[in-house]
Amino acid sequence: MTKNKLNEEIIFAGFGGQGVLSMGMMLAYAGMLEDREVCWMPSYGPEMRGGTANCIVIVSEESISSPIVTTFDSAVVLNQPSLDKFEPAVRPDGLLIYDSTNIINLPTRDDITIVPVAASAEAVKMENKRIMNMIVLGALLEVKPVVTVESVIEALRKVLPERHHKLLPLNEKAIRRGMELAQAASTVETE
Amino acid sequence: MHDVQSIVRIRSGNQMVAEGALRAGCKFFAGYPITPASGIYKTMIDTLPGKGGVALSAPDEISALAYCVGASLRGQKAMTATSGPGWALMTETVQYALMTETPVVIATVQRLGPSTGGATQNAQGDVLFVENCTSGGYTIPVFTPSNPIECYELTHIAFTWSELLRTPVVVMLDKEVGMTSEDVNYMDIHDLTTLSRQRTSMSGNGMDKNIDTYYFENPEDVPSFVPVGGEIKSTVTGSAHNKAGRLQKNSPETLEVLYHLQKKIDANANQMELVKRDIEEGARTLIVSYGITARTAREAVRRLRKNGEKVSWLNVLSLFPVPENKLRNSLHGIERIVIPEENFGGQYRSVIENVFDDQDVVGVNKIGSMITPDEIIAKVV
Repeated sequence: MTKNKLNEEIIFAGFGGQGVLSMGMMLAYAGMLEDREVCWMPSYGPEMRGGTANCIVIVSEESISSPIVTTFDSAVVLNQPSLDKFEPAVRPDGLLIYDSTNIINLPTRDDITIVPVAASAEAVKMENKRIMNMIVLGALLEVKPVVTVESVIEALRKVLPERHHKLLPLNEKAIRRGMELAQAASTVETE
Repeated sequence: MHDVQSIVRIRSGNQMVAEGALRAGCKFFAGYPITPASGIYKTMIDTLPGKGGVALSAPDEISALAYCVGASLRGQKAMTATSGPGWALMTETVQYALMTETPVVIATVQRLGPSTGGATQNAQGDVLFVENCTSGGYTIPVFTPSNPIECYELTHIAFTWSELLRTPVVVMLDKEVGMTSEDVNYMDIHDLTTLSRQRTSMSGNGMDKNIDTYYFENPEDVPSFVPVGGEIKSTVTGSAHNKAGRLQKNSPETLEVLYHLQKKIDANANQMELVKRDIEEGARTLIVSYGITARTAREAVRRLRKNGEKVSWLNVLSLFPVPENKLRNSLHGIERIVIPEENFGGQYRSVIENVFDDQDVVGVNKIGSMITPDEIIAKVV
């Protein structure tokens, strides 16, 4: 309890339809379940799908004055335009996690931690492309345990209608798989 | 609704507007979905019927507000929700509600204009458009929340004033306030007293009983409500009318009614003033903000004070009528007033500038992206 007070400001960004907004909402919801102050601010284009989408999530031990943030402790990006846009917005010593399946131009900064996760490819292997976002969220939680996996599962249980509860084990599996991938990626980096 | 101990939920501003309306006794909602206000529409459609009310999808915004006025003329508390393009269509009916002294609450969530503009982009560009929508320049009360709890409380308060003064009242959000979700502890909501319009004490007998639908003794008095379709005949028109509600040209009584529509607001302007103040002794700058820029301003204040600088802050919750007393009472030692707004003209600044004495009034204005705390800090002395 001697460490600095938790105040994590994260941007999740990608295409509409990738589960960017719901991934952020699950983190915010889990934060609320852990008695944190939370804030989820969505931003997207006028298109129903395919446009750019992002959300800023703040999880804090103190009351959040402004939901508007321009630099971030962590960026979680799922496509090239988001990587190009938000790599420069990560604070020094911050974290950048990206879905490496969709990236051609790699990030270049050396003052932040960069964790590539082949989440889309992994989701295909797991035979459900829609759990890609949970794989990435798992990767984030491995590197930065802002909330526990249990809280995220509990959040999913509360948010999903009961008829979808059969998908909870798959989501948990995806989160755990994301954690393994992030662990592997981090290990490679330090060698 | 929240009599259970310490309930914490994630709620958007839009959801809390809907919940505040339900708490105020709203029994009728009609709307046409529009980003970024659809969260209000969806919450009302989902929940109001289960609480004994009626929620309707209207074919367009003109009908949406007209349905609400009809429900209110019958005696029900009614609300609609829209954004700038929908407000444009509603202005005719807003005036009709004002002229016919029909209580109705309109929540409008600003997005980037003009026209259909940018549906998913934030803006605070409808301030003057909303306030100055009437022929004749009547005051439309406007409340501006900056977080989910204020959305709940101010919607409830909007209903109160709408009912007590029998006039349309606006709750004006912006996209970020409406769509951002935050943890909400329902125990933090202040005690709110729900009030309803004064109804006529006369009892009717069929349609044969005639009273003056808009009878008042003094111009600032609010007439007792006579529901349309009840036992007593109620005469309602959007045209200039006498106290009986009958169309009449420039008679002294008709002019008295036209003055009365404004005087009943003016007479209560002091009581409607609502601001949040954070005054620091010795500060030379006062930041005045509303809506989402209040949140940015709060962060700017936090950073300035962290660096040992003195600054005062005032968040306007009742945008109109202008809270002149509370603004004037906040000026001790103040040399500069900084007003951040997400519009390019400094719309509210242009309204309140003449409230101040010899202070230097400066704006922080832009559109298309959000004002940052640093941009506010740069203007502070």
